[in-house]
This record gives sequence, structure tokens and C-alpha cells, in this order.
Amino acid sequence: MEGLQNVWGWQPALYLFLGGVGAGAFIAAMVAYFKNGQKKSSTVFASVCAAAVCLVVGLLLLLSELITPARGLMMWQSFSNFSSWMTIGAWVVFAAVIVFVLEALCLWDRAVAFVSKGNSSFGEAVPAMARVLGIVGCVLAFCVAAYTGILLMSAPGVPLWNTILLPCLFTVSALDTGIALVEVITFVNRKKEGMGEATVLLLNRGVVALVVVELVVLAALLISMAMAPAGESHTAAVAAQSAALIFQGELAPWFWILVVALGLAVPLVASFVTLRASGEKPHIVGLAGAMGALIGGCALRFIIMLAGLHADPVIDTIVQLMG
Amino acid sequence: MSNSMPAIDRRSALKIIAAASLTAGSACIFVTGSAHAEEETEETGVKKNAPFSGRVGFLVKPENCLNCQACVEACRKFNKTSKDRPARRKIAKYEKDGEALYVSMSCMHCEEPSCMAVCPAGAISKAEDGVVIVDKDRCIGCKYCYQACPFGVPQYNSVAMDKCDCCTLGGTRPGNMPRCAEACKFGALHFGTVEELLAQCPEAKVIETSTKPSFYLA
Ligand code: SF4
Ligand code: SF4
Ligand code: SF4
Repeated sequence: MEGLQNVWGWQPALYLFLGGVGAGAFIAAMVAYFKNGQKKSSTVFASVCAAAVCLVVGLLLLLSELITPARGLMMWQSFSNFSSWMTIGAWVVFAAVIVFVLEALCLWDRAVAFVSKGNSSFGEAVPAMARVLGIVGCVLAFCVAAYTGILLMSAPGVPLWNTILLPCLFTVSALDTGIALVEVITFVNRKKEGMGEATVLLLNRGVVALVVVELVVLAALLISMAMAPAGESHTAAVAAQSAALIFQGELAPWFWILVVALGLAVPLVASFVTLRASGEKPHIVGLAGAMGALIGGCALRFIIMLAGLHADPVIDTIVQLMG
Repeated sequence: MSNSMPAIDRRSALKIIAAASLTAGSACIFVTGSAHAEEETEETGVKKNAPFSGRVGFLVKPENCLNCQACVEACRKFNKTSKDRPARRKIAKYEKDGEALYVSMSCMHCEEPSCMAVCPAGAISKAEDGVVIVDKDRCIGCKYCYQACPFGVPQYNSVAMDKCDCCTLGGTRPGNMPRCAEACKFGALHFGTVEELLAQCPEAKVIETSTKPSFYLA
């Protein structure tokens, strides 16, 4: 793996993936929740729990990559510089975890029954709370999804990352892997509960739209890098080099098989099939599409991370000196 | 990109990178600096009585550099960089059409340091003299500063981020001559305020990047 970005290892890559999936899954779960008239649903409950777990595991991975994780835990000090996107992101993820957990509690019969035992007015307020937390959670989730891309975008030394297209790509991918996670949970839970035909329809249409948008953004990102005027500056040369690594270099097999085929083509086809055979019960084809999307989304974070080569602006000045 | 820049084709640019990274790697093997403490007086080689004002930086003249590694060794020794870690200074080799240039590089103490902006812990600061320093007791070791630095300067040891501090944390008074520049006997590495450096070498070229490095090449 020589010649690839290796200062950040697998933990940050997985953190970015889990952050995205968790955020996307919460949004997808809330879409299902509101679409179903806010009916109690074990699938929605499980999805919100899974979203929270993804974010918590992501944060733990981020901590484990630090040189001094114990110091990192003192968040008020270690994440105190708000000109850093890492700081903003860490707090947004933290807030999202709290809201997701509170939402899960509101959706959990036993917790609601326990708390409202001696206080029936509390029990009555729960649906309203669930609504508000759901909306606040969606806003936070969207911020988390975008942040996973902005974190990389704010590294000016890495041309592949230093573009607005990266947060766009990661946000779209977060939403589509989030839907995938909810689909997997729906499949596992299918004996107990169906999703509701209208919701299945909506989520699958969402997948089709998101895959198309993701393809466009991904193509725009890679083509803009590959077409960078490599002769003009070293930054442009490195942008082209990063794109070449993904298109045709060391990372190409992973990119074409995992990201493009499994992560985009399979979910697209699966959604079309599901849309045609729509019904309450999720289809095995839908599960295949969802698994493909999850694998592809994860591979995408790793590939973007590994291909993030540093440019060397000194070279441009040296070229001037050498005439 | 400025239009005055001569075009380099992609292949030669890539060759330059390959050469640069190769030298960066071999620099670590080359160096044999010892890590034990050295009794050095503060006044060694400093510009005496210089009341300090201004922003400091480095001026490098690659055509004078022989890649003798004296600056790297002096830095290792003074800052007690352990043998298994990269030094704060390195010599990068740039090659084009068979012609090689060596450039001694460390932190460029940028006017707008991106490392400082992205540090979540607020562990990086810019002193009045322009020196960009890291507070090892605050750094959490997230390595975001490496990703953000256009030159990939920050390195890491088992405690925290480590990079050039113009020898100030080692005891050199702000604005006084650091060990690397003092060690260079061939006039390839100069230290001073930006004004001094530009007065000494008006034709020096600044590196054009968003962080505005205090680093000049001539
Ligand atoms: S060269 Fe890099 S590490 Fe040094 S001040 Fe500039 S951005 Fe920071
Ligand atoms: S590694 Fe240390 S100095 Fe660098 S950004 Fe992280 S906390 Fe700041
Ligand atoms: S100024 Fe000091 S710390 Fe910086 S490279 Fe030179 S010797 Fe090392």
C-alpha cells in the first residue's frame, strides 16, 4: 500500500462511514415513522437504536486513533477550538447521539410506561416529544452526514478532499447507506412487522434518486480531479494522480467492484425490482441491494481516505527556480 | 495558478514527487544524531543583543545545498528527537531533467497556519514573533494538523505532535539563530525576520499557497 495516504488509518475511515450510516438511518427511520402516521413500530425503534450505536462506535473509533485517547475524552478541552471542523463535528455527533437516544426512549413502550407510571400527563406528552426530537434529530443527522465530508474538505493540502463535492458525495452516500441499514433491519424484523406499502415505495424511490445523484456527484468529483490541468501546478498533478489511483490504479478493483457495482448498481436494480413487486413484506432482493449499498458506502470512505495524496506546493516554486 | 509559471508536464512533476518522497524516507536512515542531552549555552551562535521584533522565517538557497544533512543532525541533537522518529527538518530532493536540487525544509511558520485552524484542541498557537508552536500537554494526537498542512510538516511521537518551533521551546530566545541555520556552513539555510531575509535576497521567491508560508527560495 505504498504511495497511498497512510497517516490516517482505518479508524477515521470507518468513523466517517459509521457517522454517515447512523445519520442516514435516523433520517430514514423518521421518514418511515412520519409516513406511517407516527404509529408505534419496532422497526423504527430498532433503526433509531442502530443509528445511535453507529455514532457511538464511530466516536470510540475516533478516540482510539488518537495518540492520547484519555486526553481526548476530556471533550471540553480537547474539542475546544471552534475554528476546527473536527471540534464542531465532534459536538454535533455528541448532540446527535443524545437526541437519538432520547428519541429511542420515547419510542420504547417499556421506557414510556416506566416513566409515566406515577405521572400520566408525562405519558401523554411523549408523542409530541417524539415528534420534536425526531425533527431535531433529522437536522442534526443531516449536519453529521455533511460534516463527515467537510472534515476532509478542510484539509487544503489534499486536492482530492479539498472540494465541496466531497461533502456532497458523503451526504448523499450517508442517506443511501442509512436507508440500506433500515432495509436490513426491516428484513430481519419482517416476521414481526411489515413496513407499510407506501413507506417501502417511498424508501425505494429514495434509493433510486439517491443512487442517480451519487453517480453524478461521484463522476463530477473524479472527472474534475482527473481533468485538473496537471501541467500547471503540482496540486493539479496530484489531483489527477489521486483520480488515476481510483480509476485505474491500485484502488481501481475495489472502486469498480465494491463502490460502483455493489454499492450503486446492485441497489439500483434491487430497488427497481422491489418497486415492481411492491408489497408489505420486504423482498430478499431488497436485502441484497441494501447489503450492497452498505459495503459500497464503506469501501467509498476507505478509497477516498487512501487516495488522499498530499500535494507539495514547493515543487511549483522549484520549477520556477529551475527555469 | 499564475500564468508566468512555466509549464511542467505531468511526468516530470511526478518524477519530482517520487524523488522528494524518496529523500524524505532516506533522510531518516542517513541521520545518526544522538538523542542524549547536551549542555549548550543559550548564547551559542545567536545574534547578540538583538532586540527582537518582526516575523521570522527561513530562506533556502538550494544551489548551495550539498545534502550534507548537518542542519538535520543539529536539529535532532538539540531537540532530542529520538532515533526512531523523523527529524523536524528534512532534505527534499527535487529532480528535473537530470538536474538535482536539495531543499532543507521544516515548518514554514505560516502567516495563516492551517494546522492551527484545524487543531480541535487549540494546541497550536502562533507566537508574537511568528513562530508556530504546539503545546504538547494539550495535543490529543488526532493528526488533523498533518492533513491540513500544505507541506505535510507535522510529525508525531508517542506523546504528541512534533514540529519545528525555531528551537524556542528548547530554550533559544525568540528571534535568535536556531541550531539548523547555525549548522549550515554552505549558506544554503538562513534564518531571520522576513524583512531581513528579503533584504538579504530581494529576488527570493515565496511559496504560493493559502497559508502564506514564511519560507523563501532563491
Ligand atoms: S508549514 Fe504547516 S505546520 Fe508549519 S505553520 Fe504552516 S501549516 Fe502549520
Ligand atoms: S495532532 Fe495535536 S496539534 Fe495536531 S491537530 Fe491534533 S490535537 Fe492539534
Ligand atoms: S529551527 Fe530548530 S527546531 Fe526548527 S528545524 Fe531548525 S533546529 Fe529544528
